[in-house]
Amino acid sequence: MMLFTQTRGLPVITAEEAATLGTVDGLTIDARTRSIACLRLAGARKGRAVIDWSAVEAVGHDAVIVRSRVAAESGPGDVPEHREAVGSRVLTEYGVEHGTVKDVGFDPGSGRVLTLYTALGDIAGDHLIGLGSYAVVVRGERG
Amino acid sequence: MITLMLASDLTGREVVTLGGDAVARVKDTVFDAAAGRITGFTLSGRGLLAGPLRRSLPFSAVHALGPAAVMIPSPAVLDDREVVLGSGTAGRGSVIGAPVITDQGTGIGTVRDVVVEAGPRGDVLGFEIAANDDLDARRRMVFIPRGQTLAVSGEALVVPAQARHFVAEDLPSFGAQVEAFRTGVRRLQADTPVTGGTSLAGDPSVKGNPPMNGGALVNGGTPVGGDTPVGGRTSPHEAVPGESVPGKTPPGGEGGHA
Repeated sequence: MMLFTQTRGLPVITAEEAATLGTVDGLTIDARTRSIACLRLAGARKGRAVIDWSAVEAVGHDAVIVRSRVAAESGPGDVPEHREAVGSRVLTEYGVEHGTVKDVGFDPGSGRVLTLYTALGDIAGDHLIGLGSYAVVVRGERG
Repeated sequence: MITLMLASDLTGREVVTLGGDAVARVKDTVFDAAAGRITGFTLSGRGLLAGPLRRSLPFSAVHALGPAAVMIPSPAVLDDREVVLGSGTAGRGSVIGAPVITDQGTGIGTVRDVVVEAGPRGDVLGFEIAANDDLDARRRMVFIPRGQTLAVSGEALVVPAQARHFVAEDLPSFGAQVEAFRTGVRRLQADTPVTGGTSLAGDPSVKGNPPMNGGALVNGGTPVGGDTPVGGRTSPHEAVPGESVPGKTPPGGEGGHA
């Protein structure tokens, strides 16, 4: 498992050309699939600043490997609007506050969101319902 | 565990979609004519200078009413103002401030606020009442469970005379009382001889027994009745004769119905 905070700032390198495209600025979660939809680049010299998750070969501790420059630039077709999950307020579907997201753990292979870490406890990734401008909404207990 | 909220606290609460976007704030809570349920909310915008919105939120579309936010499935459920306001015109906006009168004709205060239950249903559980001298010499805020009211309209709230024994002084103890009251009602419906257990509260020797719900009612309530045996009138079914617990019948008595 990798954490969102661990990936920020990692260089993004293509496997075919060994060219650095930029560094990871952030990861965009698709709340419907509960997995990462794309990664945003900081300092991208040319081409798109957003890379679809399908173009990502591997996420390691030192770099993110993208298949090729072409794959990276083919770009995502339908990306959800980027919402910063880390730092966002957490609400259960019953309207109860549950702290803020400290970090997000994800599977670097599949891109699935595994855990949302909050000051009030960990929330399993499959409890994620929505990620909006106001809050992260998770399935919750009544009350 | 019931989470209770005051209707006035709902004003300003964020309306949030399950997708995580805040779309509005609650402006006013609209009740049905009998003030038994919330029928919906009028809305205002979220900005500092935002005014009332043309759209409103029917309660049927609410996913859950929570302590931090009112959750809705999507912005598409918001409806025209008339849909919410039109259905509840009788009791609209005027429950608060209505005089509270017992069925004996004594005014005991005015309605200060409405207590609602958190969750998906929007039930009204009771009323916060600004007590007058007749109910409470110290003129405290007290709570009366809705199950104890006879009728509510925009003009008045009529409660049985013994409802004064159900009052609580704060929301948490009111929550316990409502639960005890419901348990009591359920037990009455079950019609077991144990129902008389609530009258244990009237027996001085067991008055301090916390597990008995009848005891909880009395302990949570305000002893407005002075020195009168409160337990004797704590709940409606107490009045039924022959329902006392056999053990508390005086020696040499008829022996109850055991």
